[in-house]
Amino acid sequence: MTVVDAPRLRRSWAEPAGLVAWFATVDHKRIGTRYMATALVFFFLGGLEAAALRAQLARPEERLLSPEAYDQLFSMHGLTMIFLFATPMLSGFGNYFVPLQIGARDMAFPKLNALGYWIFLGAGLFMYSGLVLGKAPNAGWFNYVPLSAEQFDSGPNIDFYGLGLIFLGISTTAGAINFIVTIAKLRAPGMSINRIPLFCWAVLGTSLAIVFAIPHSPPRRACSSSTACSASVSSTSRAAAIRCCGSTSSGSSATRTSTSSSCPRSGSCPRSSRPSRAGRWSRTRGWRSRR
Amino acid sequence: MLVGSAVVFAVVLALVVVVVVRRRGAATPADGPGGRNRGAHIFVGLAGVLVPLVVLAALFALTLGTVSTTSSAAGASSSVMTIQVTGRQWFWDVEYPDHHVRTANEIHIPVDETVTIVALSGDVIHSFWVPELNRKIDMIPGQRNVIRLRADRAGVFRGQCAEFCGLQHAHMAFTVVAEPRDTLDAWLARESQPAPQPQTVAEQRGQQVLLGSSCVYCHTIDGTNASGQIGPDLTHLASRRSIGAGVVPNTPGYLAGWILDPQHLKPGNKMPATALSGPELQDLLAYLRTLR
Repeated sequence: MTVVDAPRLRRSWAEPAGLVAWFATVDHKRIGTRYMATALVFFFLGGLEAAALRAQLARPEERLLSPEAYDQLFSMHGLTMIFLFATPMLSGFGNYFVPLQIGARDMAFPKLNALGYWIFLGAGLFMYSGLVLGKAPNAGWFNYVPLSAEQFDSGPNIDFYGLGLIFLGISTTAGAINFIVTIAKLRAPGMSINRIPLFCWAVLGTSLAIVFAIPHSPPRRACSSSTACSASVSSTSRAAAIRCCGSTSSGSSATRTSTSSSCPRSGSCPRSSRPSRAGRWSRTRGWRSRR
Repeated sequence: MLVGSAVVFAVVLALVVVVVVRRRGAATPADGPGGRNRGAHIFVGLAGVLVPLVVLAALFALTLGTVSTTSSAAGASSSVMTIQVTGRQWFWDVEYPDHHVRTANEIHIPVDETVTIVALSGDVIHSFWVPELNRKIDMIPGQRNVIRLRADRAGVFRGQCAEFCGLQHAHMAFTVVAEPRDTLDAWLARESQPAPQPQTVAEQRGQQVLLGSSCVYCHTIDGTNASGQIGPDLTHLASRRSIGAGVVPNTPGYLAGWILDPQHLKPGNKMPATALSGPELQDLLAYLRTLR
């Protein structure tokens, strides 16, 4: 690359100004900064939640928070700190530094990168909208069944958890694929894979783990116990259970069983009523087929 | 374990010191296949993969051995008694299968003897924990977990649910009462009896109030028609120290408050409010006091 090309290069990589351009930017540093700034805002909210919890616990028989409010706040605190702060903060650092460290102009898929950020933001806002409505996730950030199953938690609370995590899973998966491709294909000439900085190795390792773990797991994560699981994203899973098991009554009884076997084995489901693509999201089918 | 970690720590520190002390530039092997770099690769392979594998496997084996000897496994012959405890939202259903005793939120055990606790769940995951007597054991629906308790002095030990189980998880407490063997035997003998018949007129009216109301759908009083299975067994309610799984002491005043408005003392629990007139309530309390 000669110096003469520099102005042309600058022109073609220039960021247009204006409000639309601000929203439409695909620049990895700006997206990285946004990840970090947004994560910090969620970090602050998670801290506020923690402060409220500690205030409630400061004295015995304190009446600051109702039991329901307490459960929602500590669930939101946990999932905020893990899913809305720690993970996106790492994405932010990765976005900002990985292209710089390996001498790339940008991530391999800049638009996918931007999409990942906006989905993350939307998922976070979606989950917090539950808190505003007083219907935030309330079964802890682990969301164990059967506590999070419909029988014990019938409100929309767990829907906010499950759908929010599915959105976040899409965002994280897109980001991970982007990191892998960027590190694999866009290294500066002469930078063999064993010469990339340690931070890039960390990002690569995490991304590989994410690609293999996350796309399968939104349903699984939405309901963390692998044994006793039938319903955690209550309405979606209810629909899935009904679809899977053929009738409303058997579907709901499967949902209600709190012991280890929660749904008839997929072999016993009528083949005709078994979902094909929709079933990917159904816990009942998902685990059975994957185990 | 401490020795093992100390050795690992010392070796790592020594290596760090070597790196720091070694003159910078003294050995910067040229990168690339073969040559001096080979030795470095082999070293990284050995020290980075093989050594940790061996060390961690050894420590893991050591941990397994320690855990299985220090924590209580099931089944040994030294246990003198089996007590079945079922966690429910949000109280503890306690049964002594060999003695035909059923109570709630209060477990009586002999001093200096080992008892076996079978931990079950009736709904969601709970965790049985008496910090002064042993570690936690999860109560998982459909599973039968076992832990042993041994108290080396007489006393009352507080237990608590240790797995978030919903709205009143914090108010899911119980007590373990460790007492001398003869006291325990007397307690078991008394608790295995059906409820005494009401004697006075007030007590008889109180029993009628209970049997004629919705109480019977959820509570059992052995010796009467009340045989509900949803709430705690009330056969010997008056012998217990607390109501609502440790929420309030078992006094007539609190009991009256609980019966009239359980949702005030423990919001979210399954017991609905019961509308009783003043005299009905007094009669009911008089009857409940006889359930020793």
